Amino acid sequence: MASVLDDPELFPILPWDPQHGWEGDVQRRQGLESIAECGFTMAGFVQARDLPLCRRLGLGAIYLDETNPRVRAAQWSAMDDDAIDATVRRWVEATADSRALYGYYLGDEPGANDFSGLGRAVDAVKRHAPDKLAYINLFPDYATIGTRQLAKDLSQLQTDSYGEYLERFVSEVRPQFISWDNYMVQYSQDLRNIEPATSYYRNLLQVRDVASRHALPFWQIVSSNQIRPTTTIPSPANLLLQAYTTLAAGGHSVGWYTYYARGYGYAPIDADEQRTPTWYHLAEVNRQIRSLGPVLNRLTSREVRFSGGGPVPGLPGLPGEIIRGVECSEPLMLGSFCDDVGGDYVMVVNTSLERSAKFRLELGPERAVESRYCPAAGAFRPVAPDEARWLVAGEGVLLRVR
Amino acid sequence: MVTFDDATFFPVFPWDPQRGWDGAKRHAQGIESIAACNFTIAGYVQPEDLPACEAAGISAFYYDPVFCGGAQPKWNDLPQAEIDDVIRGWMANGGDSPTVYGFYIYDEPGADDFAGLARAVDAVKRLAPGKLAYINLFPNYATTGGADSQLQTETYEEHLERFVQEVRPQVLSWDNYMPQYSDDGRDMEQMTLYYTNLVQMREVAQRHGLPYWQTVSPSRIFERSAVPTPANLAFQAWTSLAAGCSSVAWFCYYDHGMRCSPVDDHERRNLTWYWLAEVNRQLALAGPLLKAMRSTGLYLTAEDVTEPVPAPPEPLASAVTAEQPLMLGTFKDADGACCCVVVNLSLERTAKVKLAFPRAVQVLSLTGAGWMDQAEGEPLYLAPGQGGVLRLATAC
Repeated sequence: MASVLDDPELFPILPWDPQHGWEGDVQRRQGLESIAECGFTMAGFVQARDLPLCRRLGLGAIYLDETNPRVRAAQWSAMDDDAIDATVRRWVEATADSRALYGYYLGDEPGANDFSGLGRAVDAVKRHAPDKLAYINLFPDYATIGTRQLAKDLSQLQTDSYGEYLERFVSEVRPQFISWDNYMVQYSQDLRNIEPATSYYRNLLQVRDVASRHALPFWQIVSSNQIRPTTTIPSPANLLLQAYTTLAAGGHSVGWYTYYARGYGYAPIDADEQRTPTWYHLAEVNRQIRSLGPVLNRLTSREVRFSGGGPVPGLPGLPGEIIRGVECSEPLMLGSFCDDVGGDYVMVVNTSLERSAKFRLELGPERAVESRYCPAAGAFRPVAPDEARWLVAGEGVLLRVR
Repeated sequence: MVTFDDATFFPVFPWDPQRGWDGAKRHAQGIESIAACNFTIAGYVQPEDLPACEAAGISAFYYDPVFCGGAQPKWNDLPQAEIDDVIRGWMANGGDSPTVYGFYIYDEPGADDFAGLARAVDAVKRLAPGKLAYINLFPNYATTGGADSQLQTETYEEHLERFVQEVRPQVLSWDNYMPQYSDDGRDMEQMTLYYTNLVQMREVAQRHGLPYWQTVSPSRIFERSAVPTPANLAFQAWTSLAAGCSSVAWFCYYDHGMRCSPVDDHERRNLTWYWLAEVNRQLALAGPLLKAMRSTGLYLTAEDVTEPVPAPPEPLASAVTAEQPLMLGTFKDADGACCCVVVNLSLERTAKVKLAFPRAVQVLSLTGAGWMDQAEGEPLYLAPGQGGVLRLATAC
């Protein structure tokens, strides 16, 4: 049975929110219709009663157990195989008729000590709902590490390194994909503080590397709110950058934490259930991703390079396989892709959050940019090969190379 | 029905002849698209477009391609009686529709054109009461001097004064594209011309009791200028509001070869379209509210723009501060209550605006929920170019 992950038409754009709160009792005025209108392709995380509406709205959905909405990654380790099996079977029965159902929420940000239980839960989902996703989201690379007794209570990852955490997750949980969250674009004050800014790109490339080696898709959760009272707020530029850098790295989904305020400032929906300017900005970014997603689903990510020294130190520079050099005043992220008939593509992202970038690519011999993907038209449009192109702060564009 | 003197209506319009200057063009992205982009007026339409405007719930500027034949019709060549006949003809041919907010008269006149324009304005006032005779003026970087210059006056101020005295207009409208020409404000000398123009117009208009309308750009105005961005679109709209403008127009909606306009040459909605729709939505929320108030002050906190916009006086200067330069526009409503529009002038960085008023402050919610209490000590964050409206319990 084909997995939901194999559907080339669906590129998951997910609001990282329990639709009815973690207690399961919140009723929203800005409900699923509003999520669909904001350009999301998924609703998350919903109860069984929400599935018919998700279906009508064309939203995929991740199920959150309404009898236990505070489901924790840690809970699975305390359950024996039979209990896990019974829980997953109950979920599958509760959602059996839904064509909107995409997967089941198993937990968020597990430590390595939770992996064995999660592995058994993922196995149960694979057995009872082989075409659905077992949804687990991992910590970012700035979570605390350590396995010694002294550090045990302080360690979030419960490993000695983030690399070890990712590898153990893959080998012990046997997931269908890797999802993580990283809010360093906000923590770094729009990438002005280099150390946290570096975490954003390092985390993206590290997960990409592990996922590529294990042939797994990867999903990034980024921020659409003011993640802390002292951090920067969502802006068109930082929303674009988070989305387009995920796509350029070959990410298979963008999740936005959060859609609802839940105590955060400047979220798309405020505490009074009203649409803020962030909602409108996010709707536009989602509109672009939603249009690009099915195209990118059919491409294979090959490499990621950065021009102009990159937005932070230590990132892979040029030349790359396709791009030899770049003429541009701002540092660019260049993700190259190929299709299954030998076509080459490059996603170019302006990594400046401050300035528009005018760029011209230097390609290898007998190569030229043939067309660019136009999200509004949903199609590639021819371009003059040597024409300089503009990207506003944080924006990206997908180019087809001849 | 919206009339020109409706205090609650804030005109936001695309500075474009809807069917081209010759009236022959057809747009796939037509009136419905303009309404969807949150414009409140379509410009400049022909009688056959009026039903679509009405259906879309927007007003319209009337344009006659046969008489006008372009942006600068020959009013100077016509005596008053013939001009009266033109206006009567327009009224008989759809111009009297409640959907028609005003008539397109002229763009960027030199002073030598003023006599004919005065006759046209006079005819509209007499024969189409409640409608606007729309004339748009040059910016302050137009050439000055004799008959061969653009302004045909020695100074910009003389141009404005003579326009008011000789034409007796209902509004002062002008265009200024220096945010683009200045490469998003990085050439501060050019950007200063933008601020100067706002101050010049505001001063002349207020002295003569006239509304003032600014035309700005959602396009890459020429090959080497900055492209439209969410930040510079917000900046142009919010600085217009802060200065007390009663309308914002966008030149242009269609591409005309400029690139990056809201609708491209293939009649597709460009990315700019979507960003502009959000800025226009915000204008529709804040514009009518501010239009009903009196603009009492305009200040800049930017150290590199000391002229012509003054720094804010105390206690305002200490009450609204940020690391980024700000524009502060103060307003009073009919009851004497004060409001302050705060604009982040940085097109690059989000501003954390610290508010230190002695009494409670409310912020206009851009969700449409009205005034919201701002917790004491809580800063107001403004994305690049973004503005906000404060309601103060104290004098400003």
